[in-house]
Amino acid sequence: MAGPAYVLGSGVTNTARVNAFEVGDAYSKYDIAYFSGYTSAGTETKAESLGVASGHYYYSGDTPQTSTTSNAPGTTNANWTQDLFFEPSYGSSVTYENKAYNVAYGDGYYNLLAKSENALSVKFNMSYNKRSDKESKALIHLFEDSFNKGEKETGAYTGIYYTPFAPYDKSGEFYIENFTRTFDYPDVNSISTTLSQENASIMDWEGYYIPFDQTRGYFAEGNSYSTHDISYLSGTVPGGYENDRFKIHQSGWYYYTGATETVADTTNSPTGDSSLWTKNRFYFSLNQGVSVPESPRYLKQTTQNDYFMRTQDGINKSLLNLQFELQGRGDKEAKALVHFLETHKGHHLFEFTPPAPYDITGKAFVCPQWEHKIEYKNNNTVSVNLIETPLNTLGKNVAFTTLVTIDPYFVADFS
Amino acid sequence: MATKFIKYEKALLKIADTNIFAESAELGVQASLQPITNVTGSVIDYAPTAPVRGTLSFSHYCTGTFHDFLNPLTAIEHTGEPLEGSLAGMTFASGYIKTLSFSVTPYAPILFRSEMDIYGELSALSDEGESDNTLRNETNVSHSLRSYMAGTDVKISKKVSFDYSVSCSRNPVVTVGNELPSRVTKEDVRINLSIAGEDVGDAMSITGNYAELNIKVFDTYGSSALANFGCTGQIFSQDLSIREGGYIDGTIAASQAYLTGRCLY
Repeated sequence: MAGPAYVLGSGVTNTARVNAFEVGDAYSKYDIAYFSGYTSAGTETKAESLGVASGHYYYSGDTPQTSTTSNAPGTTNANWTQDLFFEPSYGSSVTYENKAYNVAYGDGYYNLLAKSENALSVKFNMSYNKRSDKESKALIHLFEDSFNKGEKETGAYTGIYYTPFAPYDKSGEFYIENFTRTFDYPDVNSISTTLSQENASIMDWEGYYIPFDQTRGYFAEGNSYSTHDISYLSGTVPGGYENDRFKIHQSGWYYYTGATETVADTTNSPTGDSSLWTKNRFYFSLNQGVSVPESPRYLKQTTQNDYFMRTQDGINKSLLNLQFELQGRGDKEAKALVHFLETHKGHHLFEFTPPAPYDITGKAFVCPQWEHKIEYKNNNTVSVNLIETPLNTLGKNVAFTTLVTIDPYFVADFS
Repeated sequence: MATKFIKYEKALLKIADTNIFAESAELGVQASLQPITNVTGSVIDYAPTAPVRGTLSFSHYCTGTFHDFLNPLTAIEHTGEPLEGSLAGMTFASGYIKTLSFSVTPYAPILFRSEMDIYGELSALSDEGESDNTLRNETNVSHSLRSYMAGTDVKISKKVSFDYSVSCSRNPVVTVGNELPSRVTKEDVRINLSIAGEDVGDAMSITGNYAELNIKVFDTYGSSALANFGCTGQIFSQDLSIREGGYIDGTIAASQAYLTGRCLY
């Protein structure tokens, strides 16, 4: 069966030498074929009858294979896929940015209002370094062809199905907007792109981009926990924590800050008297090289001849706005750090104590944007932007009578 | 506890299932670590930045047809890489040839020097080592006696000696979540040739001087070359030196950027 017609300049793809799938042809990893079905022994089988769509498929098996009717796309033995199965290189990163309205009230008071439930924008910055010509061709073709798939009822085209690297290994549909291939050397190419997914909801308490499975799950006494473990303190959980030990506002994600592995009990539990857990305290140590820039607020009146008159501008003049990198973090710490920031959604307060002599405790910050770069195995850099807020309302009671969302196991206790 | 002292005859070097008539061998392993300090200056961790890389350097005499897998000029698809091998019974699974060099000087056997990068685990050093007593029977080794370099472009008719080398950079491709490379690229392949003789050839032009040179390496008695090497590139340097009581010594150096071949996908 013939592949799609490639009209010069039609923009279908810019990749040459892509053939139609044929039974009997030999295929190896990163081969591309257009599959609309096959003809075997004079019998024609259409792709749709195999439960797959016509289109380009990519051979993902490590072992070369001669195609048969039993390993064609759509069969159970198929090594063909349309998913993004190419493995990214170290140096790839994930950036978060809270899309919010910044409402300033004067005297340094402000409020960050998320624009929507999808306001925490996440982008996967993918690097595929030093790849062979064959792999590069397949990868670029997949990217190019992803703009050709108008399958949705709305008319929108489908995205690229992809399961990101850990700890973000939740499958989803991603979109790209541009991509670049650099010819480094014969048979050595570097490719980069950015994957976006705008429909993840911050209302999903179980997990945003780091799935629930990447955590220690529900907190339970008797379990053994170690540094940077992530656990959810909830209501009634089978075999888990009893539901009458804590108040409604204490439910949520907690991070184990103890130095050694400990068996959880009532005393060291998230709500215990000697808790080894934190919910709203940025407990991660800072690297050397942190800068503390200050730009105190003031009023500057310009008069003639470039003469200025400076006057004071109320209180909360020099709220800290810190940008720093936490470098060389192990995979577990980096996961806890990003999860902590995810949980605070780019606009929720948490406590952070800056390094001395700025170490005034009890200050509250928000982190509206951060980036997690995977440098190497067990080596991560997380760049954060912490902005101080003039008020710390974390310990204050908030009277809600309407709960927009709550975890399904929670048993309300307003006492 | 058994000693790890391995006797010289049991320090066999084997690469790609081939016993090498080695004159010396060195194996080193290096982890790339970056100390991570916190804001108070205390080291909180040592973060890895690249895979653990070993380097095997060895020199050997060619006793038969030169092994293609030791030549960095061979196209990456045809080297059989990654190469397996062992030194004194300590085995490695993923070796990648990086350099090859040799010198041809009067009355001397030609010793080939090689260097390869190694990734992946090395086995423990064997107490027994490994030997191949048949290597001592090898008497025909590559020798300068009948080996020569052909090519008139250098304008040195009486060559005293020459040095040939091939080098390339090997870069590991490690994907997220893994410690070992899924691929090791071969890049920047360069052939360098340095010739010493009685002259330095034509005056150097701004683009260097073209030279096409062929080297044939023979053993003492053989009638066919054990190996052929070449350099088709540009002469880029000329040196002349004179010392008291000596002669005028000329040296020229030529270089070639080499393409190991590519397929059209």
